[in-house]
Amino acid sequence: MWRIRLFDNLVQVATWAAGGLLLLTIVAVFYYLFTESKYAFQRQFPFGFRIALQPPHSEYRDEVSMDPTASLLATHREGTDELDDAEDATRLPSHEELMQMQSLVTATAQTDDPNQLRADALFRDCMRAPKRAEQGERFLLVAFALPNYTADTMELAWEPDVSFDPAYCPYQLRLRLVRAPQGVQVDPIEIDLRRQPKGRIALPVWKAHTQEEWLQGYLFELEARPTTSTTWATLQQFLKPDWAPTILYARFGMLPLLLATLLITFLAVGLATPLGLAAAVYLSEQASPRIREWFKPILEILAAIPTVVLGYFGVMLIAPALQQLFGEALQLSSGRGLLATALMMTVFILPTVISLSEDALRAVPNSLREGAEALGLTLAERVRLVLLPAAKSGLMAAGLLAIARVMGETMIVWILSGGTPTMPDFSSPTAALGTLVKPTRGIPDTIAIEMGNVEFESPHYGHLFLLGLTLFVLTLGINLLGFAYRKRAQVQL
Amino acid sequence: MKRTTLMIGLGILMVLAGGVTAYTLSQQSITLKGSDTMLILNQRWAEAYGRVNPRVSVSVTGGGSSIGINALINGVTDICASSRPMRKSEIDRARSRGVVVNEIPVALDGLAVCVHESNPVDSLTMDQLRRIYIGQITNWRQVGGPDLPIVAFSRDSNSGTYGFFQQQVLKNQNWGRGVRFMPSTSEEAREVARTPGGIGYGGVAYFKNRSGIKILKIAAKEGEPAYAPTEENVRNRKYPIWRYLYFYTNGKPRGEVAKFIEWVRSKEGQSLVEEVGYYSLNP
Amino acid sequence: MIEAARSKVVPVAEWEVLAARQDVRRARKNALLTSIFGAVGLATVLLVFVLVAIIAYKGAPTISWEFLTQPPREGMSAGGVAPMILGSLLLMLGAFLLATPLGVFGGICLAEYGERSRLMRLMHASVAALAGTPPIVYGLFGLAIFVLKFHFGVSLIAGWCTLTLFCVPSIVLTTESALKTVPAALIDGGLALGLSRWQTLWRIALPYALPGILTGIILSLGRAVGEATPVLFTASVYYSTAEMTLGWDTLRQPVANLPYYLAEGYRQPGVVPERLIWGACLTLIILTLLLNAGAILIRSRMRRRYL
Repeated sequence: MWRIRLFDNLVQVATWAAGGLLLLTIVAVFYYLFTESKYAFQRQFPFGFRIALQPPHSEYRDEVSMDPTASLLATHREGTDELDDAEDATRLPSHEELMQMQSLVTATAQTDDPNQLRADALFRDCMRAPKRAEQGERFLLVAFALPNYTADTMELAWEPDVSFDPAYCPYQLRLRLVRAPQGVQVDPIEIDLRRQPKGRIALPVWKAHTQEEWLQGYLFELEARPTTSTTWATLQQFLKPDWAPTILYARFGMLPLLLATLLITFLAVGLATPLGLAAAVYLSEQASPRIREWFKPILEILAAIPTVVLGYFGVMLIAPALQQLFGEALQLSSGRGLLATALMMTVFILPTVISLSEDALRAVPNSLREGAEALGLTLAERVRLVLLPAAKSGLMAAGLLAIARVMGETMIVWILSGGTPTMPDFSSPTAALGTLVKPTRGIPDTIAIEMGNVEFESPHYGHLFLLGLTLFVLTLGINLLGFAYRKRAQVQL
Repeated sequence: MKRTTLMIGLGILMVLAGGVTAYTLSQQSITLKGSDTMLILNQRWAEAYGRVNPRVSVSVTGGGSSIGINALINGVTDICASSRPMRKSEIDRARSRGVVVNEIPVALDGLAVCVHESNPVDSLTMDQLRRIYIGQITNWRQVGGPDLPIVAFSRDSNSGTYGFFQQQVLKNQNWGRGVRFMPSTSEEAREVARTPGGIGYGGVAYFKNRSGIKILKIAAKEGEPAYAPTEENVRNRKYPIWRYLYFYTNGKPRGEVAKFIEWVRSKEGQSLVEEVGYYSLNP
Repeated sequence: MIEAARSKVVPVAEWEVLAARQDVRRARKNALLTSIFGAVGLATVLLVFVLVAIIAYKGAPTISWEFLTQPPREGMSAGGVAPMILGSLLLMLGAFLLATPLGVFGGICLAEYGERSRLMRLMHASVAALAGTPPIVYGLFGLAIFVLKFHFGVSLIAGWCTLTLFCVPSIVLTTESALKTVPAALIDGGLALGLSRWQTLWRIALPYALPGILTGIILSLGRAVGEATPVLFTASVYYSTAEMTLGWDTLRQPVANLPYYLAEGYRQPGVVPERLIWGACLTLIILTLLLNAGAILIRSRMRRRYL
């Protein structure tokens, strides 16, 4: 008797323990998914410009960086807060040495207080630790000519640093003339670097003859003031059309990824639904029970093929075929892209669509079919006029669940999509065709590709979690909608 | 009831016995993660070392130098294989996590540039190479070749080869718009072999003995002689794009890891480097 | 107006002719559509055959005893995929041992207490939500939490934890639905005989639902074997000379597995020959099919025993 009670208690305890563990895991999964994304909001927003005095009409009109007499300036990079001139920035040499190297000089100081400028603490480049959007930044720039400069005007030229796009910067960037040299008349200069990221402005020549005179040259100020908080700036950038997390001025705009995933889903489900529905209709209305018995296992075989294998199949056989078809016209290097991905996704989702649709159709009570028969409807009419409307909720559920599965599928997208995030372009038929076959990248495979490459608890890591969260919420929403439709179907019939 | 308890007891005993014996006979393991360029090399080293010292196992994973470096920073690997030197920002990040970066060169490589075998262009200067990859030069006739658009292939951003190329050849400038990023050097080679106007770069071992492509000679400056990435030219640094291939560890390597790295740098290990197609540290 | 109407009125026979023509049109449309449905059905079957046939054609020549039992050699260009098969099986075994108790008892918990309280209903909804989550989210979670935060490193145990998380929701749902199909009469009968609630569960409801539960478990495991994403960065290694022994060491080492071998191998076309990859594809398909077939077999045999 006691044995039974012990056994009872054991089973009960096991059930409760499992329930508790389950609850714990659910909470943990949701908790971590949300909180690990917080690292995305610890982003720092570096910015960088090259500002240098240039001779006018030089052959390097458009390329600030190529003029050997100019110097690189005010580049804002990751580094330590102390300027390590051995590695990060180059201190200006002595006056004599300088005269042997160039004739125009732009330099920056470590301080942002004009009264603390020191001639021996000027640097060719300036690299400081990136600040978060809530903090601002001020650089002081000193510009002067050397006695060996012969032309009668000089120009201050500026351009954004390589791969820095001011449109992505949540700062208000301003270049302002603080003080012109003694005796030089010049209009006040104030440039909004976001509206005019690249430009030139002429300045009267002023020469410094000794190292002390350096500080009496033109004094400019580059000021960065935040326009929003870090959180808001991060969220805004998340919706921008450029995903480039590993470059210096990282961009985390997930729009191309989202659009690619949506396009793939749209294409794949759009292709699979009519085909799957037709096959389901055949199965439930036309096929004899013997055929049905054979069909089910065949579908299960298709459903059992791992997606990695489908992806490999696609890359070895489908992509080269597409390459042959469109390669010449669009100068493709491989057939990998949206179309190849969507084709293999169709194969992937077809069994799911067929079986769910067939379940929905079979749930329609036979009385409706008999009624249609009695009215003299042909099979096609019965399907169109009676069955499809009756099974509408179930079919909607099937479609929605299929959409959710396709959205989350990673391996096929990884292998077949080509790997470069690209914004879809439907401006012209050629462009549209190009979007379909040129390489692109979706959300799940971005997570997979970059997962191994992130540093724990860095902004990139946080952004991957934001992507995962987006995917999770999207699939959750669609799944919930699908369940709602399924419930409706059960109630209706 | 008695039988079941007996069976369960025996089962537990067997599992324990197996576990304990296995524990005493167990192997030491070394994880080696990182560069895809070095993957063929690492795998050969692991295979050969397994015969030299069967008590120690080596697990090799690729993915790209950045993946290896991040694994080292995250503390997930013993050795990081990298085809480019670590950047100061990465060393700083490692230090902030308590990882002391220790750099050990293990092989020499010439970063080879290849084109389709039908391309008559034989050599390029570093400046021409740079301007092709930043998108300024778009047609082969601008560098003395046929009138054919240039299709430039590159590794993707996980790769150390990508980072090295961007730093040394592109001088940290931005990649051109038409550059196609491929996930591995083997695939790059395959695409160049398929594209008459193609050009690609990668570790020389991947391009040697590959049909359909030919390796270009590179000149450091206009007017200087162009050199091919042969062993001699890489050793005497005449070939402009030479580089070391590195192992990075956390602090000085100890124990089995130290022995493995020592073996890798010994004559035996270095002879495998030559076999794979890279160049050993010392002739 | 009457003249116009009269000219439209047709003798009965002609009206019948028109109706007959309408019927013919409908019949033709019907024939067209039904043949399209049939054609699509046939095309689906053909698709499966062609797909599997091509993979078998490309992969079968590679499959040999050597392929299945030897590790890769000569820089992955020769030899076999034995460590990968073993790794996949190990991962599956661990996931099975960990996920089954948690999943089955969790399903029992939901079935018994599922509608009682708000908490339970919320849990049911959460489990359903987790079951539909893309596996990549589990992979990311596994990497961040098990590999990095808990410092398991890329290891077998991290792979087990991630795969368990991946399998448990679906096992819970299938167990719960299997238990729900037990006819109320059986349960009432048990209670009437004086059995306690847990005894009815254990001795009457569970055996009845067992085929469904087992099928659910095996199908989940089948998915776990074939999915690359949960194990990609939590447990996988490209090549390892480690021998997998029964010690604690193996738990902390990464394992080679078939999906990862496919995912990495295709990226090295010059190194890993195509035929090896096709062989691995075929092996993976056969493994998954065996699992699924096993599930179906168990279900049919147990059904026969109990009904």
